[in-house]
Amino acid sequence: MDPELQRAKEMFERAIELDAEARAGYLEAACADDASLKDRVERLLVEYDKQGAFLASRESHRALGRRRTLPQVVGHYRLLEKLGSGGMG
Amino acid sequence: MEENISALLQKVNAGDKSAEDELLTGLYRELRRLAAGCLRGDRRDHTLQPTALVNEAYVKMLGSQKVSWQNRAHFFGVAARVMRQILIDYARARMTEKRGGGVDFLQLDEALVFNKGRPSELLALDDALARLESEVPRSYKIVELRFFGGLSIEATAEVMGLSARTVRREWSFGRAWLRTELAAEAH
Repeated sequence: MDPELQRAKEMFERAIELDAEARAGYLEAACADDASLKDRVERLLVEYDKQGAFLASRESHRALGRRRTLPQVVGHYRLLEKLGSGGMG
Repeated sequence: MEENISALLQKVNAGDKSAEDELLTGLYRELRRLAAGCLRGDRRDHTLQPTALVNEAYVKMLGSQKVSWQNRAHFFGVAARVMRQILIDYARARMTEKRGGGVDFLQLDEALVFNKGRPSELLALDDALARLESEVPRSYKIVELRFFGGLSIEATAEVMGLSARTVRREWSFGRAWLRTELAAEAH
């Protein structure tokens, strides 16, 4: 992986654990003199905050045979009903 | 048929490459057929739910047999790869057919809705996925299993031998990264 991307990824992963205020402080400190790195991480964070249901495929309940409780809300969608499920062993 | 797939999965599990090819071909055929069923005729909305199709293929091919989780993992891993290819084939075909005219919408969330759909968005996504695959392979694999295979965070963690926490992190990064790529392209 390109080292700059690697660095941006690490910072992104750390930043998403923080609240907005702490994030800003963290980025300031961590990217002190690297504006392009900071910009890169910030763009990732903007997209992270608005990704909603992007690529959030309906999970397969059969996949590895685990039972899960359905969440009531997924992204900005509300689940109205369960359409079906598998009876597989 | 059912017996064969089960035996095939055993071989895939043991690292047999030609068995994997055979599984891939079988899945390709089955998933294409199922997708065509969703996309046929004069319905106004063409909706493809990758997860639903993969599940349907599973039922068709494995019926009610008991299948170990390792074998299920292989099945869903290969199916996710095939599903991506099928969606792209479909988008390309639509592009040629429509020459980009009169098409306007593609929802990239829990279902892919080709509502007079814009296949170019799916193609842009496919390009971005290919870049993710080469730049951050682990993150890519997780997006593939989750989006095209419909695996939960926990199931993905098992398949990849990672902690759920790591999977969640890579999934967040992969999606955010893809979105920045798509946003850059849209401008």
